[in-house]
Amino acid sequence: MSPTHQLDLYIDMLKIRLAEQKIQKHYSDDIFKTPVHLSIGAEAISCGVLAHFPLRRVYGTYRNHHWFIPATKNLTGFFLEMLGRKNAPAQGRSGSMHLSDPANGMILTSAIVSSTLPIALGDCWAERQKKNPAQTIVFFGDGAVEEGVFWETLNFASLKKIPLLFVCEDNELAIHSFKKSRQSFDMKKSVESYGVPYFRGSGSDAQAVFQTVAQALIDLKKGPVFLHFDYLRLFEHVGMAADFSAGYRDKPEGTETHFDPVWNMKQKLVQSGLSTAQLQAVESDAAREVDQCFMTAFQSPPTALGPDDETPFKSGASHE
Amino acid sequence: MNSWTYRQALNEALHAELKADDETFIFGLDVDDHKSIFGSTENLLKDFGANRVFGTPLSEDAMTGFAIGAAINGKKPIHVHIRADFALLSANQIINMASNIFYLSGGQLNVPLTIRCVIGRGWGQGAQHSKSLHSLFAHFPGLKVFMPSSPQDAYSLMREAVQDPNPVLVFEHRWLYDIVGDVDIKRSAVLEPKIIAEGEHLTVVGNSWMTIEALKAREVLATLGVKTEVIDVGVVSPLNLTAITSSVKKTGHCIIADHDWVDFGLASELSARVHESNFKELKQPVTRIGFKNMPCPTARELENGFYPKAQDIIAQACLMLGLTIPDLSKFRFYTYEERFKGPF
Repeated sequence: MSPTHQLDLYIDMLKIRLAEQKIQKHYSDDIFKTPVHLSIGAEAISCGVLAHFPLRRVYGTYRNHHWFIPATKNLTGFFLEMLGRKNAPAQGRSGSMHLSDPANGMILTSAIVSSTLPIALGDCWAERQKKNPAQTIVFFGDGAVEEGVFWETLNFASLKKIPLLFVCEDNELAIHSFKKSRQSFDMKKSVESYGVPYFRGSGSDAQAVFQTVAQALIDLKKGPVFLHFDYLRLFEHVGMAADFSAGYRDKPEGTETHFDPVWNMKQKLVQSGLSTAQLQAVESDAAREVDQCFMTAFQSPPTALGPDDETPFKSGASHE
Repeated sequence: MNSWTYRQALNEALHAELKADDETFIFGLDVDDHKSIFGSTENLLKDFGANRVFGTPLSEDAMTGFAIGAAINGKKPIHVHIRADFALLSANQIINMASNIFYLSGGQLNVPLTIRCVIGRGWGQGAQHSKSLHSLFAHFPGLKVFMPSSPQDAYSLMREAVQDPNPVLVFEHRWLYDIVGDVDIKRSAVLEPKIIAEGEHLTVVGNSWMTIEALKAREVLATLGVKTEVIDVGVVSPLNLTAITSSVKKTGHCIIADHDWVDFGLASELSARVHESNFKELKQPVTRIGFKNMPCPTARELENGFYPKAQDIIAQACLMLGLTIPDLSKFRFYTYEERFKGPF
């Protein structure tokens, strides 16, 4: 991977990290009146996957900030929605857990585990039927594969050879329960038993993610592919705190280093010969952009209920 | 003008919609088999091909999500459940996803999805093949609920449902499939409850099969000099009360006969609204008629006690109007149950 490419991934991840830290900083001010599932630690997965697909239609879950920001490049829109502002992409109707900016490729996310999986499949099928070029991507956590609809979706994807990209972000935790207390099966064997190619890699290293996706691209031309990335959730399930001291999990060795995707990529850039000054310039640009987007959003007018809220329907028939 | 059965009207509407827009497709268990959902999907596979008319795995949940995703991306899916009860397997996708997507996305996404649900009845259909579910789904903002009771409505409401840019559930009563009626394909759908028989002494509000029973009751009541106005609720949600309100203003008496359980259902909703809008004109409280408050039984003798009938409407009307219930043995009541010999 070239240093330029590494730098692009670094900047993408840095913006996510800084945006999340901005929320952490101001959450106690009570300006974000929405449950927040921080994406800190997961930035490499979204950035490494998205780098392959300039045309994409993204679906996902409530832990979606790390997809929304690089997929849409709409950082102001992100803060507008988080703050419930009138001119937000979804006019303040989505909040943190259902972020949606279809005009910029982030189609739909959901607070119900696994519920966007079949929707992404239908979207992908329609995209192929219409011979449109975008890649439909659905991301989900390791808990989603315990829902029946995951297997229904995997079966139909394989049966009809619909090239949906399944991206499992595995942090081993469903809120506070570990995977070993929830799953009796081997994910690789189970997925492969449906005839779906399976790839696994580190989710803490964007370059490794990028390379894992590269291995899957040929299979993705022929049908669905399942990508499985392991990463460490650096903060609590929902909320702002680190919770390694809560008693249900230990703090792994390397939490601040090789489990941190931003730290990881920075080491690579140093090894590739980027100077401290160059890195500082990039970092201060990213920080300035995040600050500006946040302030623009913060100063925007709040959203309000209108007459349309009670008729949640699109008007008009589509033909005749 | 065509003289069509309800099933023909559905079939013609589906043909017309698939022909009108290449993005429209129909799918679900059994839509493409030789029995073609009681004939309603007949010849669709032949005319439009397996890409637009196809069967599915037994995965109602994922198939509903699949339809939602296709709809978001420009398709117009029609998903079919041969029994309404099976739609409950996809309740998460319908209630948590389809109903909310337009709103949660701030109007950026819409879901032009049609879900056909066939209501079973009799011949031992029992507790898991007989639910109506229109009241349940009408409870949720963002879903539309249609319930055609005539071939004309079957045609025009089905076409309207497919063309609607929002999720619409269409509930089709199995016993209605054989009724015959005039269908004008140019007539646009009436998107609110409508008077289908005029009267002046009593308003009976029915839906689906209960509208047929209400019309029968009207015939019998006429022999007592009672002129009954029958209103059919073909569109349950969004609910418009105009016709019912003006009818009750005239009659002062209202019976609601819903093809569902009474408690927490459409009958209760309508009753509340009529009391709110017509309190001063009502001469008696509104009465609700519906299923007995128990799971639907299978044996014929038990089924007969479970379902409301024209006789119940007549008895209630007589009570309300201070009349003696006539000898009903000289009237011939619905013979559909005798004609319907199963198996499904």
